[in-house]
Amino acid sequence: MSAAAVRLFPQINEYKVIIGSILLYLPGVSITNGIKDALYGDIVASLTRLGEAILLVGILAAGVAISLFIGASWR
Amino acid sequence: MIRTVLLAFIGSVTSGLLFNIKGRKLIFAGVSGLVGSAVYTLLNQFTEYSIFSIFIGAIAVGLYSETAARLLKSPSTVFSIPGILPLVPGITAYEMAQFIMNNEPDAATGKLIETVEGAGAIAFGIMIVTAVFRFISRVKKMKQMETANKQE
Repeated sequence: MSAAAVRLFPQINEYKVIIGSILLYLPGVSITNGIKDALYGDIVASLTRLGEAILLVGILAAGVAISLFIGASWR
Repeated sequence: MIRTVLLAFIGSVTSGLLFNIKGRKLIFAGVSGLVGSAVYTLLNQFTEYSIFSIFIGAIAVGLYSETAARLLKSPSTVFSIPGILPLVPGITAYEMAQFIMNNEPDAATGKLIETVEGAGAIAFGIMIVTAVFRFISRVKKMKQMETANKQE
C-alpha cells in the first residue's frame, strides 16, 4: 500500500506512512507490562507477555518487509 | 511542543476508547497522556538523555493516575495505560526488527537496548509510585485498626 502511495506521490515519506498505519498493533504496552509483572514477582505472566510481544514484533516486521520487497520489485 | 502535547492528548483519548473507558473518565485518561508527554518533552529539551526523561514522565503519569483513581473511585490502570502510551517504545521495537530484516545487526542491537531501557524505565516509574501509595494506605489502615482496638 505504501509502495503504491510513493509511486503515486513521490514526495511522500514511505517510512512514516508505514509507522502510522502499523502503530496500533505495536506491543509497547505489553512489553512494559511484562517487565512490570516480572518486578511484582509474577514470572510466568511476564514471560508469556514478553514472548507474545516479541512474536508480534517479528510478525509485523516480516509482513512489512515481504510487501515492501514485492513493491520494490515492480517499482 | 504544544502541538506534541495536544496530539498526545488526542492519542490517549482514542486509545481510551479502544479500552472501553466511558464518560468523564475518558477526559481524565486523556489528561494523563498530556501530563506524561508534557513532562517528557520538557525534560528532553534540557537534558538530552531520553531514558531519564521517560522515567520522570512515567513517575508523573503514575502520580496523576493514582490521584485520579482515588478521586473517581476506579482502578489506577484505567488512567496509567493510556497515559504511558505516548512514552512506550513500540516504534523502536519495530525499527529493531526492520534492521534485522535489512541485515544490519549493530543498529538492531542498539535499538534493542533502547527498547528494553525505555520499557524498564516506564515499569520502574509506575511501580515506584504504586508502591509508595500502597505503603501509605497500609499505614493508614493500621492506624485505624489501632484506634478501633483502643476504643474497644
